[in-house]
Amino acid sequence: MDFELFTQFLVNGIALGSLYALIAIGYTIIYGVVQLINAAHGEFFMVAAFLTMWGVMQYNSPWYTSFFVAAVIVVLLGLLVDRVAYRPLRKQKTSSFIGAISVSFLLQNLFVVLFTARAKPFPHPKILDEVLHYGNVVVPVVNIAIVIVSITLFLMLYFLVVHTNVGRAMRSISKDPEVSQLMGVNPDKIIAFAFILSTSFAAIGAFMYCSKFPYVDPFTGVIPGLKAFIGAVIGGIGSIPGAMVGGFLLGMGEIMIVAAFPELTAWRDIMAYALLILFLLFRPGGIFNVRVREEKV
Amino acid sequence: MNRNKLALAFASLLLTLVLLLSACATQTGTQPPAPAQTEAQPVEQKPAEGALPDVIKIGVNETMTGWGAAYGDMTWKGVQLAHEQKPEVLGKKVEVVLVDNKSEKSEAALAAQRLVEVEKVAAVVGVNSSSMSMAQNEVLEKAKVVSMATAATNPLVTQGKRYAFRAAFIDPFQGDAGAKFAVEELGAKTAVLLVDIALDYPVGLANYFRQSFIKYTEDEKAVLAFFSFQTGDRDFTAQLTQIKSLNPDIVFAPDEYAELGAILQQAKQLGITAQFLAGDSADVPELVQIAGENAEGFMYTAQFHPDAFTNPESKQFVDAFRAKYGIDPETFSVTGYDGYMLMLDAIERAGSLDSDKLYEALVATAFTGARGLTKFDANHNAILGVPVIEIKDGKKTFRYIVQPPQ
Repeated sequence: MDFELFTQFLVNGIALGSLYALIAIGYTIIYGVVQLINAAHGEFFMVAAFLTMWGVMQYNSPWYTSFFVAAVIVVLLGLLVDRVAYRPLRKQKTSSFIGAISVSFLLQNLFVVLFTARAKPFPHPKILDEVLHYGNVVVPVVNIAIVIVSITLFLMLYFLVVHTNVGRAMRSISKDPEVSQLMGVNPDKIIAFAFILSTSFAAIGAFMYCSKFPYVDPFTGVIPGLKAFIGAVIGGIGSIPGAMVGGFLLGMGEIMIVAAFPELTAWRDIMAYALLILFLLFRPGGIFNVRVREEKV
Repeated sequence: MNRNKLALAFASLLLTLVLLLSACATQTGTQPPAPAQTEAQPVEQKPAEGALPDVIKIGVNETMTGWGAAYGDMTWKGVQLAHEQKPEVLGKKVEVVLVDNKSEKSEAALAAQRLVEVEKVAAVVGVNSSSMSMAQNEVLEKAKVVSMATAATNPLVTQGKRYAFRAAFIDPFQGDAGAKFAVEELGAKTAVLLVDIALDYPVGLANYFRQSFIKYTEDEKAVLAFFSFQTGDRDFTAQLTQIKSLNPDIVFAPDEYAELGAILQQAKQLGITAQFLAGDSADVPELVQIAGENAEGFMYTAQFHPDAFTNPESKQFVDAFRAKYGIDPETFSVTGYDGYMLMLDAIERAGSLDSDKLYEALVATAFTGARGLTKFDANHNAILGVPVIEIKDGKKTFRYIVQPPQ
């Protein structure tokens, strides 16, 4: 493989990896504070994309207004789902996971009924369709935008978690909810805040994802949701740098496997799921070896 | 929910009642008309010929609700126009009886049962979907009622069935036409396949294309590579980057329109100059909306294009369709229209509603419909020209027609 071809694969891989990392963060934020695998994360992602498209198609509003409204609705939806479906089940881990799966299918089917399963074009700023050329290497502008948005959001999140009171409260809840409650932290409020953060990431991730792959249907969230989840587990679910690194490596790996073994394109999903199983078996804490909090009796 | 259950219970009650009644009818009803007349020839019964009903009923089994509603609606539009233009056959009035199969296989079989037992139709037109046509044809074959599936393209719809025909060409035929066009018209020497391996349609069509492409280029190695993905994948940059380095003449990607839209966009971004070619699953307006300018120059084979057929019957159909509905006819409406016309032509030539006479008439079909001269092959599939459509200035433009083998 010559250098230019390799660089092209690298460019593709960085974009896909950054997208997965962005979505994976949503899982890890929730898991960090409630130990819940929010199986409906991909559906919040889909709802954000869908509503953005709907606003532009139906009300002819510009994409940014439409996206903003969609993001607000998704955040509210996240809070509602937490209040109605997750909070009552919080003490039972299995039930809340099943609850999350139910919410996921509920949203998918609701959108199939409301909007049919047909894919619709996703409205996005035209500048993102441009491409830059460096010799034979092609760099789509949308890839650059994805990387910039991802890095900015990671830095903001890092600052929030490490240097603000809410962030401290989040970390303390994640370490020991009972003691933090004694210290005056209201876990329900902090968990609600985590949902606001997680759904915001879902909305922004959805916008970037659908700008790159420009259509949306009720199943839009399924594949990226699954892949990002695998990324989060590989990195170490519950850890923010873990989700970033895990998601990024998975995306890069998916591209590079096709680069190295073109015959194996059909195998890349199989390998992703096999990797998930291997990590769960041999290194459940992921690359960052996140300690799973022991349940107190 | 409850209303559905109630309706279902009611329907099944009705069905048993009908079955009982029809059982009684066969016991008593058929006896009287037989006697008198010719006692010298007891072997030859001819109740059908003399007994043409006052109204000849044609059943239409379509996906009017459910996921296939849009397709059912387009098909029904075609049938209605055909019925308007040809409302009589053998001097009798024709009535079309539409039943909705709700886009479900089991409902398609039930609908066929109703058409046979309650409506006593002479023939059935539809369904546009392969799986529902198969369910319907199981019932019709047993009841010895001739059927004309519309846009259904799976070979199994008619295979091994005496009374089942279809007004469309099948995928092996389409794959062959695509390859023939690529080699003979575009002068292609090499091709690459990019296929969604989670669906039957792309896998089948790509396979037929590969075989024919090798046949027409007379080069065993003409198909350079097979790249796959799975439904729901959206990042094709890895496969496309490989394709770019292979630099083939043709990329055959007979995938669903949404994935195809993303493929075309990413291919254009990567600067791939190969000609992209697909099958009739691309014949959807959303494709151009999703791919935008990246769809320019993209080509696919389809069942129909308003400019593809130059015979007067085709022009007449296109004009009448536009006048009646204000839109262009496409695959579904043309197969609905031709399906009805082919069936009436057969009834006319058979001069009877006897299913075996209809079968013989259908086999001998040489009818000029909206897609030119239409005949059936040994498996009852329509032999037709295959139009190639090119996207030009964001519009579906007729590019070429692959003539059927003689």
